[in-house]
Amino acid sequence: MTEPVEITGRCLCSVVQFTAKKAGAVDICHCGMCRRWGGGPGFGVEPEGLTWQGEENITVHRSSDWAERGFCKICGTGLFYRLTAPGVAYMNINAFLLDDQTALTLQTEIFIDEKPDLYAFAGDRTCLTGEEVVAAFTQAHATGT
Amino acid sequence: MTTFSGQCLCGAVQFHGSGAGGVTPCHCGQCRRWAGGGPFMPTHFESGVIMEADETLVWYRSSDEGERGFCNVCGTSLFWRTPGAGSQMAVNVSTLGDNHGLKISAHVWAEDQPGWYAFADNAPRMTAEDFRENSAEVIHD
Repeated sequence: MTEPVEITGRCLCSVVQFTAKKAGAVDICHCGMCRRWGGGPGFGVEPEGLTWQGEENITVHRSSDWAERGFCKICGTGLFYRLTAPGVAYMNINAFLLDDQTALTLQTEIFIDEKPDLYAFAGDRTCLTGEEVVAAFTQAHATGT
Repeated sequence: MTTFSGQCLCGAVQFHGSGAGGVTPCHCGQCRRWAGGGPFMPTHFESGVIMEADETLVWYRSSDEGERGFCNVCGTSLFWRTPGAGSQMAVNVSTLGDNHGLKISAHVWAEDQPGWYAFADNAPRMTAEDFRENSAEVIHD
């Protein structure tokens, strides 16, 4: 019987690390806030069964009415984006925290309406506007899926 | 020369500069890991960065070659510079807003880029070595 592969990752200085059961596919966010925060569009994955180590080194900033962003207070590595609405459990983590990034795949681009002309990604994939993302998320949570 | 103003997400770090050059997305493993997930996309100012408010700006020495500046309130990845370079630093282009009109001049550390994403533009892809030899031309494009 094979054991499930554990996903591991860390910030630049390694004081914050994590383990997870699964990482998922990468969604790229083009919204102005992610781009300002990170320096480019955000590459996020939704992990399952994530446990942080070194959590005392994570600073969490309430970046909007609906979300917060965590980063390492020592090296500044952007760690996660998390919705703050009560009863909603959505978090994505920086895809490039993973120790092994070879198995990652690009899934969706979101907030495509906020993408500037400065750059574009090659290839075809589902692209959703901010409105479509919010509607899909609201729908998923309304029906409990 | 046009002056550009920039700030972090929370507004605590504010700065400006002029003579902004081409944007050079960096695909090295350090920049990708640091920058909230995604290649760090900087420009450079000929004037250097003139700080207006920088009490929350902190620096992390990430390698022999460089240090990284970020806001310790909101975590915005702001700057990369060679230690001792003073006001000459790579500046997160997205801190300038979206109307800067700047263009990508080259992708750097292209040899480190994972194969599962690709940018669609035709700007040159430079290795670390190429970039180190030609950085002045590329960043002040």
